[in-house]
Amino acid sequence: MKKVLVMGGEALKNQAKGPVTKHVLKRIAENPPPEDIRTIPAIIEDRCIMCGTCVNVCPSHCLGMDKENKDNGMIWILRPQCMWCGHCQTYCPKDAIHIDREPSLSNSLFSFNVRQDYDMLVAKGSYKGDTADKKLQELIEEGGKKIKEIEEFRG
Amino acid sequence: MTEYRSRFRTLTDGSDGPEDADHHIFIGPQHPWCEEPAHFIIHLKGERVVEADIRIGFNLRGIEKAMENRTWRQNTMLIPRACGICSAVHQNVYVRVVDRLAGVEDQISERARLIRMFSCEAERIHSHILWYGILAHDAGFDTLLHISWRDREIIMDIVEKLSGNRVNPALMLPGGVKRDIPKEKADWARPLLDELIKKVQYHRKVFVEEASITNRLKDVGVLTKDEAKKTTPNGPTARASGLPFDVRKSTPYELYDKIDWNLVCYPEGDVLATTLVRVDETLESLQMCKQILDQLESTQGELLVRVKQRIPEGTYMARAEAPRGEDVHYAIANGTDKPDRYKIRAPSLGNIDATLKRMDGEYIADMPVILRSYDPCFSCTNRVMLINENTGEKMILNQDEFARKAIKAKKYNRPFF
Repeated sequence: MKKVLVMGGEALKNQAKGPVTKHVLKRIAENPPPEDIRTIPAIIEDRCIMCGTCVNVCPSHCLGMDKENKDNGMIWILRPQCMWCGHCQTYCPKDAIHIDREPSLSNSLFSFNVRQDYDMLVAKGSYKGDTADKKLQELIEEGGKKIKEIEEFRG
Repeated sequence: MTEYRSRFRTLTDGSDGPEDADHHIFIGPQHPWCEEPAHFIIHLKGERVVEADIRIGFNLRGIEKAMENRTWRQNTMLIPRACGICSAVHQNVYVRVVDRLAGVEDQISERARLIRMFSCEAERIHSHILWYGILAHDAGFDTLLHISWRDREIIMDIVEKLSGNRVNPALMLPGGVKRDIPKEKADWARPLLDELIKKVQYHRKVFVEEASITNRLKDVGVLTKDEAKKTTPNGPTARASGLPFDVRKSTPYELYDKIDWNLVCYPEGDVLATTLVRVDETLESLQMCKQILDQLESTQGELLVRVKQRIPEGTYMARAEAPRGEDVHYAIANGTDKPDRYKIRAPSLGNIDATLKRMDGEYIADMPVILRSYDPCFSCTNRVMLINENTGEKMILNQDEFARKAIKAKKYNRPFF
């Protein structure tokens, strides 16, 4: 009987205390990641001159490029393939690569219809002219097929 | 002199073992580490080890071949992935090889060299703290594991703040460094380093004075100086056996000759000595980090020298002192932007033979500690299979169960099986 009472007191205390992980969340909120932490890169379109240095320098081949000239082309980043090394930022001649401090890693994708959604999956690339539109459409269709396959697989 | 039985023999069922052994223990082979995934075969007579053997080469990831398909610039980010925890040292050696081949070795400023050194020393600190925490865990002293890993976060925070990543700082580039260490960050890091020095001194006190850990490690797995000379270990394993060899002292690279530091060397050769070598080296590295931060204030210079994409023909070999020992890289350049051949020799390979020698005549209950003594980066998938030769009975243990059994056997003086 005595033991039950002891445990009951403990239970009541825990009820009043709230979640145990509460202080963890608070600590995370108080200590944000350092300002110049390395995460997934994003390309600033206005500065990009489509030189292709970042594509040549990327060790994990996560950057792809399809271009005709300076104002007509596309550079895209495959988010899952990136290993966060920040090499593209180091070698970019125009400082056109910005590294997000808080990357939204857990974004899920619902449709492949709008460009914004595509940006969410592949991180921010550089899109210029008709070539980009065409290429983007291709990639979207490819991605749509994959999503369909996954959905079929899941049933 | 006894007959020398060659190690590295192929042996799958224990039939090849020495005659007086009655049990054979297999440890391994899944160690997805650098180039040294090891499969240990331990022959026992009763509770004592008669002989230990090893088979290696299970998990060649082909990182050297992958480097031949990438440019020198891309390889700068691939090479830290050779090892999970000593990434900065691998990158440091690579970068020095490329500097020499490209002919910009003399143009690199002192400031860039100091930042490179800071990265290497910070890595040595967190690697050593991690190691002696795990050693305490293997010896059944989990309190020290928790304390040391909690304190390790201080240096991890410093590395993250200065480089942008916790274990893969990747600060170096051919021709210099990527990022500067500005004065604000140095001022922020200095009190934290002081705090960590106090905490590591406390860890040292525990290792020297606490009976429950010293009794477990003292006179266990002794490697005498003569044996060490025959089996040629490197790094802390050699320094614990009275061989005062350190690449930073013998052939100074970067600016190690312009900084005050002492070589740590212990003559005993047991597992406690290897531990104390590493703890003392941590303290030594911490005071070196403080010195580097002080010197950075008065040193100015360009951070990055331009290195061309194409590296002219030539070969070069460089080496450095990794946390585990001597790390050797050899490169052949053929005038294009890709290497013709690149060879990495990571330090643990040199320590394997000495560790096998260490096991001879020891208790099976001491194996977890001795295997850990050369810092082999064992993965969690490590398994042990015990086979009783007479009955053919098999027993599979994971590392945890093995360690627990060993601790019990040692504590209560009970037989292992």
